[in-house]
Amino acid sequence: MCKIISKYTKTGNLKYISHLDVLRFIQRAVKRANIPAKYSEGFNPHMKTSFGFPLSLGNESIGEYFDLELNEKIDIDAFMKKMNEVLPKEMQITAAGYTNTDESIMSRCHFVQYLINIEFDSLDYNILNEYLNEMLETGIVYERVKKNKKNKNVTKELNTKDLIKYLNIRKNDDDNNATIEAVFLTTETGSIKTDEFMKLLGNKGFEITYYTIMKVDSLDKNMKTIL
Amino acid sequence: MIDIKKLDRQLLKVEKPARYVGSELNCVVKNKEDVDIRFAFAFPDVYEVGMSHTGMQILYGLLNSIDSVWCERVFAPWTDMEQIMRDNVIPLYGIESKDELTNFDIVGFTLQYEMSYTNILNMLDLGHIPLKSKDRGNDMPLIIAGGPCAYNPEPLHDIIDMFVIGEAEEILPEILKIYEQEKSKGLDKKLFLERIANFDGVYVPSFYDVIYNENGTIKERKAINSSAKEVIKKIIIKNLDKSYYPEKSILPYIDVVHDRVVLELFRGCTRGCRFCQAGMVYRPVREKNVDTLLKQADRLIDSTGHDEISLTSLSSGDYSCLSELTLKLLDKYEEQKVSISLPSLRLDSMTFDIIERIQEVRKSGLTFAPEAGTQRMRDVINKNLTEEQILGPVSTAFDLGWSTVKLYFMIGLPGETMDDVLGIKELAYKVKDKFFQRPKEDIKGNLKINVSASCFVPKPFTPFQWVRQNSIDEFYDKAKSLQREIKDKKISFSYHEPKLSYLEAVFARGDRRLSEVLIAAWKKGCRFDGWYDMFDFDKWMEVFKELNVDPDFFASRERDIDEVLPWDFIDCGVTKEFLYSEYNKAMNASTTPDCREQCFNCGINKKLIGGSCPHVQNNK
Ligand code: SF4
Repeated sequence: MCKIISKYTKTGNLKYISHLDVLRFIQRAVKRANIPAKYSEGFNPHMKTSFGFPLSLGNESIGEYFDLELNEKIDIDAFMKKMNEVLPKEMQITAAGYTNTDESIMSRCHFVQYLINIEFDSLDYNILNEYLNEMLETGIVYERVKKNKKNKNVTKELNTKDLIKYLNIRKNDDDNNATIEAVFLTTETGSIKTDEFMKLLGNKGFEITYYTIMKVDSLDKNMKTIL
Repeated sequence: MIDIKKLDRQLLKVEKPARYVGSELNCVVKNKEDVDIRFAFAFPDVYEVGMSHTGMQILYGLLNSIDSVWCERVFAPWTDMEQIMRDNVIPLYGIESKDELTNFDIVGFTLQYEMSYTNILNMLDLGHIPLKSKDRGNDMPLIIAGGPCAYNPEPLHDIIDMFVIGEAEEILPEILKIYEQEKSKGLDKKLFLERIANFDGVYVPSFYDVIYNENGTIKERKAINSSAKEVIKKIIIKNLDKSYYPEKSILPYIDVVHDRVVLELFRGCTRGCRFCQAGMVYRPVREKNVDTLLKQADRLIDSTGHDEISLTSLSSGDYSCLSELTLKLLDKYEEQKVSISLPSLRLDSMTFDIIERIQEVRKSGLTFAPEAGTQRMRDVINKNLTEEQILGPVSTAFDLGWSTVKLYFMIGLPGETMDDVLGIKELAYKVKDKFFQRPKEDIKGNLKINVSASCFVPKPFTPFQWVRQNSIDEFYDKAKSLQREIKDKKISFSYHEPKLSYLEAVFARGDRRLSEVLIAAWKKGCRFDGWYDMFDFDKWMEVFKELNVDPDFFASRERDIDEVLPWDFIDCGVTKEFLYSEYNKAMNASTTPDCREQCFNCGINKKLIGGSCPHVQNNK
């Protein structure tokens, strides 16, 4: 089996492109780049790709991944060069390599690392710091409402302590501006989403005027980068 | 530039934010300091509809190929976005630069369907641009419009500064050149418009006055500016092989209506269906040659990575090199898994060897458009198609394994009786019989026949431009009868909303008095009228009443042959005499053969070509 794993970016306006649209877009890029991609058999042949967890709409990322199966082995540098030529500057492949593992990107991913930049109306650094510590140590319990298979709303109780691995706050030049480094659990069985985190800050009474979120990387169970 | 952070804070609240940000592959970003003209190509519908429109991609490429011009795009924001823009005072902007519309020199709207007119008003208003031409000074952008609905520009006469009648690619670069000269002198819009008013295809509504008779019909049109011409001749591209075609096309990130490469095989149509405006106004037929098309397909596939090529035209099956082209495309793209589709194939011209090859790649349902149920009615509309020519290909299709068939019809055609309407049912049942009247072992799959009926809208520049449209009640009556009569589980029936078709008919053949109606309807909140769940018929009727304008006057009135029609001042190449003789033939259910068999001198040959049409030469 000939399979390439690629790490790519999704920045700028591309943060508004949904996961499904990204899948299609990358498949088209593979086609434009003339990469000898492998297709499934059958009536509606489709390219054999697989992706990591969907990035929330509105988040930028420099740590997205996808797998691509090929019909024949090609040079990795040539692959990256060809792909990057047909991709926009907001989406570029930054690393790639052949992989033998059968494990999917999703099952290899355990944590996601973020940089969250926040402009506050007025920031009391100590209170924020305290609150972040509380999230890590005592834990903040919050609810997530989801639709079940019968399309009924079910509420699940979650605790930040179980889902947030690391939080660190960095003050920026502007007094009301801070950057939070965060590592969130992100697995098929449990995860916290960035908008849930932002909501918790809002609920606590922090007045946020603007924020940006950058996903830095997806990490495996040993907190190592996937590629 | 608009406040980007402000926009950014709001965008996640709207459905499909990607509609409003641009940055797609192959979109053009220039340095605004380096250009002289900022042009906004405005599509008065949502992003997904606008981005599916090939004409836009061509003009976008063409204008951006001029160094001194930067053409950007702007679409109608969906209602959720409109609300946010109004609440937060974010003006409408070009999606490439995020600059407010007021920073542009020219905003050009494309008029693809009448029901998008209120969106034009809404877009101007969201762009903080006054709606009426006379309220916009030299500091405001010039508002122009073109596209098929410009063949009757009058309902928009108060709003648009200048219309392009015909194929804008042919003339826009020239117009922009003059604009540039005038701008360098300090632009005076009126002087600029006077300078271009003598061009073919240019119509400046403010240079004319219309006087009405007491009964509401037009008494006369008067030019009130010495540069204004009496008759505006449409402009056409003489040679499509030589005309501009983009190297690249913009590839949207989100799913759009037509997510594929669209190749236009030829313009015009030789069939002469009497209900079809496109068939008349796009004359003469101009084909592209196979090499041109292969080259264009190549560029577009390379620049987008699309996996489908759609071969379009008014009647693709009539393309003289259809098999050669399709087979070449299929061979070329087999490896890359690119499929070919042929959406507007006529039954009688269906060549099954091609269709079968196409379906090797992807299987889909078959579509047939008999348009009318009885032979008499098909003769009235000059759809030169016999029952055998319909059922024959249908059986072949069944034999080849198809089991899903879509049948398109119109109701409310001129002179239609209830028997003609029920003929639609008869025909659908005959199609069903063809499926089952085959040896048992051949019958495979689950038969599904989808019958759909649209309500006929009489259009300018067709032989039916004089006729009265059926009333809404008549339409409902006919549609409901069909619904009652079609009781077969294998056949489903659906019809288009008559109220929508009625309003479309009002604007299609409307006159200057409708500008005020449009503005009032927009003020009442009418938007996206072509979207069924947005369409608010009652609001429209209130407006007509308040302004004392009778919509029936435009939709449901039979015109006299000597009445001055609002669009008479436009010369689309086809003469009024020809249209009238076609109308008379229609009333006697007598047909006119395809142009390729015999030329009936519609006027195109003398007026636009100065010889005979290319496709008849060999036959004579
Ligand atoms: S001039 Fe004759 S051949 Fe040409 S479009 Fe008109 S009717 Fe057809």
